[in-house]
Amino acid sequence: MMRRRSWLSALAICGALCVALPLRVPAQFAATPTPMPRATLPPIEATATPAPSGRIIRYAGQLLDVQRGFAFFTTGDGFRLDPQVRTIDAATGGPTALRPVTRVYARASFDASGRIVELALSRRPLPAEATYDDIRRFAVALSPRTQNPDLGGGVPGMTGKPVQVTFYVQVPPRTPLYADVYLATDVSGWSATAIKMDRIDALHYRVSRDINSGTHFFYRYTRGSWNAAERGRDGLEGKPRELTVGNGDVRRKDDVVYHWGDEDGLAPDLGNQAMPTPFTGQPFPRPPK
Amino acid sequence: VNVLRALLALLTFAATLALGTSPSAAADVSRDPLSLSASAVTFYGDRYVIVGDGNVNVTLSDGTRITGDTFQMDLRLNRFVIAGGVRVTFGARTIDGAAFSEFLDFHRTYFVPITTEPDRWTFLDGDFAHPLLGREMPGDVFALPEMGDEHAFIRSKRALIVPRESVRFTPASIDSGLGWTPTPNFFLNFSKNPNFAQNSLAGANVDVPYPFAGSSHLLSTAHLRYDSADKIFGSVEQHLVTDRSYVVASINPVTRPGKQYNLVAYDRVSPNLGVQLFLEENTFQHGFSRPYFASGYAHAQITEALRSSYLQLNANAYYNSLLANPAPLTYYENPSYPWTPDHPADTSLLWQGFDHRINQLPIYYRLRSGFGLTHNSYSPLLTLGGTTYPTEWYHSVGGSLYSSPLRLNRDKLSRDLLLNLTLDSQRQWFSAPHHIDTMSSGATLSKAFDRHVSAYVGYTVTQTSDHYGAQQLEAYPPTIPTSQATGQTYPGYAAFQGFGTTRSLVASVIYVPSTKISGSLIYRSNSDFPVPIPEPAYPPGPGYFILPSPYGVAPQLLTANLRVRLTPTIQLDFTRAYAFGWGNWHLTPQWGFQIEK
Repeated sequence: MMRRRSWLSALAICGALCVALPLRVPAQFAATPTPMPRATLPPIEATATPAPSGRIIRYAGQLLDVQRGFAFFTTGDGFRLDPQVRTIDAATGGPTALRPVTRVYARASFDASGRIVELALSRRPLPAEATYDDIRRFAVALSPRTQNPDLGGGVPGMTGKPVQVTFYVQVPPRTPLYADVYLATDVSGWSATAIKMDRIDALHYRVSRDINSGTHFFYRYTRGSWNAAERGRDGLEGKPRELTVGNGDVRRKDDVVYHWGDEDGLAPDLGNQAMPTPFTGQPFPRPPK
Repeated sequence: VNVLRALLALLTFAATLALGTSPSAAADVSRDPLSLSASAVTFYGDRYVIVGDGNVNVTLSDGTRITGDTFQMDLRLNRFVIAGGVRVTFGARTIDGAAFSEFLDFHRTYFVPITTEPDRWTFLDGDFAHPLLGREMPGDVFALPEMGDEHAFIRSKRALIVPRESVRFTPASIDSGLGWTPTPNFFLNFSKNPNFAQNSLAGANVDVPYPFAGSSHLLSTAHLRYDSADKIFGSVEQHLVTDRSYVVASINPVTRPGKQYNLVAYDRVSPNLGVQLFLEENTFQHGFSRPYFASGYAHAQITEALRSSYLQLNANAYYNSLLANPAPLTYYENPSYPWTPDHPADTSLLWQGFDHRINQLPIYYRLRSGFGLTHNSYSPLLTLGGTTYPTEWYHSVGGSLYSSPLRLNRDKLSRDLLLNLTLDSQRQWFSAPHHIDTMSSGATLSKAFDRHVSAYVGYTVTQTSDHYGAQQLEAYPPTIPTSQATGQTYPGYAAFQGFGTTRSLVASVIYVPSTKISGSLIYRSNSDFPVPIPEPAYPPGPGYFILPSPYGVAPQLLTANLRVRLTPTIQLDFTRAYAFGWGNWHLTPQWGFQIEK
């Protein structure tokens, strides 16, 4: 409640200041065109280089919090707010009903001292302007930065970009020619019919999926039910297969299924004429009379 | 009946005990539960993200309490962020801050406290008393991915989250597709353990599961189902699961008199030994009163892995009437439930070899053999020459031969024409004077035309022959059957003497323009001897489809399939099939439509 009231006060002060005290414009920027109304804003220039004295840098990001005179972005950095900071609508440059709270997107205008003099707010992500490196030095922190050994080691990170992963599976030679084969994954809640595969020849099925790099998931092949899921070469139920998708453009994964859970090793393989009753020594059911 | 139920209860109890002492139940730091409450807790099923908004209150397993304005957790990445007016309370100490993030898999906690000014603290292994000051943090440590237009599946107020395993929402409103349905709670299991997906329920046309309770090893689910026989009905299913074993029991339907009690169990007793059990009891009973009728089935399978092969023991037992003889009547309650004293059984031991390559040729083989017996003392399995055979012993030898894809031409763009060959043959000898030979051979030509279009043509021939020698006509007397579905007679059967052949030609074209859309067209032509006979599906009645099984398959079948993936977890699957020349049904369209989530 206190925080809400203090923000209402801050907004009121900012609004009053905007009307009563137009910011002084440095002479060298007076002719610079900006998207903002000149009557209410100083000419602001987005820049990718450290700001020389007197310049204003605009950085767009998502707010984590605004409290105690600081604005925090999702980078985890806290930046000092100018006591006269204004809050405006990022799209119109005019007043906004949005409050600078968690999840709201903001374009912060830093003055030469590293204080935020303006927060332009939006519910949608805003286009990038200055980079994080340009404003990082303005972040306020009591403790000096120290290296984090967790982040070292030169392990290449995953970019999360979509990678076309194609699964090729070789099925047992006794798999009926009309059998459907599926890929079941933990991502799909282990549904036995999650991803239907296409038969491409007598022994092989194939399916492609876009999967973000860095994704680590588990999977198994089935014939549509867990009773008919794959078995290992030794006839036993094994652990699920797993795959980590790297950063390449495409990825091919070849697997072999040796047995199905519902396969009957001894009964004659009669396809649709298989008998639904215990094996009686009569491979053919009696025809209707 | 009581014996079977007692066995089910005993197995369930034993499994519970076994699971309770399972090594996999050992505590794992990253799986310590955390409880979340907020003004609004929302679960986004497509992204597996939980968002809490307003008055967020999170309690960790060590008692640490974090409050804030917003909570967001990616269940797959196993990390969460709390942001906005954050207050962390551990022990007697309270610290305010802007954001708190926990990477559960790495036991790292990142915090932006505000004392006199902001700072950056990192905690290792949940040690909140000793922060590492100023330590660099991962760049996305406090990222709050935009949910935007993502579809919310569950709305709630509280959630108990067990990382990498489950979430219990209390209460929970579920998007049932027709609107938000309020429920007392919803148990979301997203474990990587596939044993939670084992299913003991019989099939249904529509199934809406409602998991209402669970834990690391348990899952209780109520099902609302529909099928053409029972219409809308309810079922229940219980899972008891470890990494190497499971017991799944169900009652289906629980709201109809015709019930099916099922139990599926599996245990990987050792790295080389697996035991599987399936028990089924069918009853007709109102509620859980004494059944009018009951039948049962039991199947056990023990598999022992050897160095380059395995042994598998299979046993089946059928109990057609579990209740006492209703004499002087010959049926229970009404003639639909006749008394059948038969309880046939069969047991077999199979040896299955691994695949082996023949020298350096692209040809592989696998061998199998086995023996067993089948027994039915009430209805002899076979009567031949005046001799009855209530028990038949048998042994068999068989093998498969297949090639890897053989390139028939070379193409720079890998558009080779490939040939696959398969052959499977088996002979089975019986203690009665006959043996059965089965041989199935096939050849497939396949070709990928470009990245999107591929096709194959396959031809298979399966020959099955039941040899009785001089007693052949006694075993297979000439018969002219009549289809109960169409009234058509089949004089060609008069020539059938126990030697059958099935020939199938399959041609398929697959078109995959993108990873989100795929389509296929499959044409299948069958030429069988003896010819297939259409029969009505069970139970017979108006509106039921004609089933090809078990008297052969449709002579010609054309199937079109289109699959469209709308979201990462929802796919529409359209299938339409035409059967040609199938009795009087020259055209039998079948529509299939499936939403997978």
